[in-house]
Amino acid sequence: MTTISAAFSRTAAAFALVLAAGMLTTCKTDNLGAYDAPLANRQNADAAESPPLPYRTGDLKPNERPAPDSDEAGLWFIADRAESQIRTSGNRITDPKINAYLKNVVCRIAGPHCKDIRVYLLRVPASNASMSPNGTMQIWSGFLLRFRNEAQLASVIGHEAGHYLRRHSLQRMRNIIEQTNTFSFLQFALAGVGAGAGIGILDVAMTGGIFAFSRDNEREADGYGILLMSEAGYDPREASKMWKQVLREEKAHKDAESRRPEPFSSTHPAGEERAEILARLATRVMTRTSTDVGRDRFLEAVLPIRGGLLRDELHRRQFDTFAELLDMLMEDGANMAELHYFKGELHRLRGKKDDAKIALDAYNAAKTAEGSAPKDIDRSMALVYRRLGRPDDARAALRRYLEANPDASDAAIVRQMLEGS
Amino acid sequence: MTKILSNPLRRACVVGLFASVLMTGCAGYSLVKGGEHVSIGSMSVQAPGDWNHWRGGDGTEFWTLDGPALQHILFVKGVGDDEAPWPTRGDRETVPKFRKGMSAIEISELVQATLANEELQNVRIVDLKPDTFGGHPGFSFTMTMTSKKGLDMKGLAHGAVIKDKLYMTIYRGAALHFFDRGLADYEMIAASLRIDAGEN
Repeated sequence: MTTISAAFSRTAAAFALVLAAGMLTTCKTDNLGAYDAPLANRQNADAAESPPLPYRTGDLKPNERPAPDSDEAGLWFIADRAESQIRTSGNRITDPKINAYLKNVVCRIAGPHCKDIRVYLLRVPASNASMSPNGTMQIWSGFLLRFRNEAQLASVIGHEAGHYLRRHSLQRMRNIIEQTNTFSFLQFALAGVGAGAGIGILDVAMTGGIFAFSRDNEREADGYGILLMSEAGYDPREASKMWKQVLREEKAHKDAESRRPEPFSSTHPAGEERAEILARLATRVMTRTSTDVGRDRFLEAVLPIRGGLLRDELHRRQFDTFAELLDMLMEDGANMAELHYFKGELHRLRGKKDDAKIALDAYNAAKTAEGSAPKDIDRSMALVYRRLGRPDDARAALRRYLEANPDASDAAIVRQMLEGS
Repeated sequence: MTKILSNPLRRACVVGLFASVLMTGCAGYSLVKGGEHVSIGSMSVQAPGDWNHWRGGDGTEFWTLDGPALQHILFVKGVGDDEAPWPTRGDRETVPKFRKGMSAIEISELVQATLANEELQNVRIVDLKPDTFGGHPGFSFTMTMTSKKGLDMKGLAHGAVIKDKLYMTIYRGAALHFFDRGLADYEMIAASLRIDAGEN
């Protein structure tokens, strides 16, 4: 009997993990109805001075927490515990300036809910953002790297805020209960397996193994995103432009089927559909005051950390998409030296035919371009010269590297290379 | 016995277990006693203390005290041109390869990229310097990184290229407690390890 009970507990625990993770985790997503929901009360899209749109029934009020004896409180309890892990995660980017910047954009978008939404920037080189029912918003650094301006960032924050305000996690949980009558099963599992299972749930929830929101939830969140950004004065057309950028990278994949899709886009409406519908919605919510793009503010906040994010992207070794990303960033023209340097690194590490020459051209362009390239550029050039069989040029580049970085932690090995070459 | 086999679920478990054993070859852990000499490919190592030795069906060999997620020493046993330094579960297409003629800097980048392929994040290489390894001129470097779940980790690696083949020991573990727990042993292992590249 004990064995059967233990086995059942384990099964229940496993089921609970899946269900709870599903309720907690990130965003998934086709009819215009769901997209339209947030716009339903808007009388006239051209009315520039129309009052702020009231949130629909069921939305959270500012500072609201669920009643302690409610099913929603249980959901928040799990989300609170997951948040405590995120708060201390080694992957968290804690730089105060970028965090203050993100919080400002959240507040501009979320208005009275500013205090209810806590944003965490995590160092993960992939395009994703997520929202937990308790107001924990995660933005992955790979996503931040891909925005071109503040309005694009605001569109994603607005989308995630939409999930929160519309209580999509709770909707999702209740739908599952209604359809499968599994809530008593979940409660039993949570009560029966104790802390061990709790950790497992957090684990699954945080890693986002199962994507919770329905496609209609995602469409509604898209609608909210575009509405909130427009209400906050941002140009809503940037939401569509951002998805077109994502599509450009996807097209750069040589063999899309054999590669892993980005988590965010894979669970959301198909890219083309999304970009097209967002563009249509933008024309409906656009007002005379929703014109802010915020490119300069965005670059001022992101450029100080961009080099590290580009290096993370380089380490993924998805060279085709990285090349496309660099091309897009070059169109913006900010710190071109850094971008040319990373183009050089891409070709040096890929190491295919002609790559060495392309890498050298890029490094040389970095040396004369606006901005500043990372300090190890001459070391990289030396490695390429060695590969091209140009030892004199390699030695000269290594000497330049040592002159510019006399205290480099690899100075001894560079000197050894100089003696041996 | 009959009773066990009459249960379809248990039978499936037995079959599954048997299949997994077949798939992994002779994979498994064995205990290495302190002072014992062990051959790992053409490397010979003396264990300073008791360690658990994993031999994987894919040729992976590592030692651990508390489990590989907490700390382990990975042995790179003579990798040739155009071969991955060790098998990873990451995207095959993006697995970086060792190339003949690589400098120590490029090898450190290779390790960095392979760890990133294992979904370790923010892998940083510091203190790359000349060193001896297995009685041969080589290099060593230290690393910091975080796991996908945000756990801070540290690493220390030693290596040498002998007859165009890459030999390395790569020690890594959780920055909190577990890396330090095995560090003294690892340093003794890296210092005492010998390589007989003539065998290859």
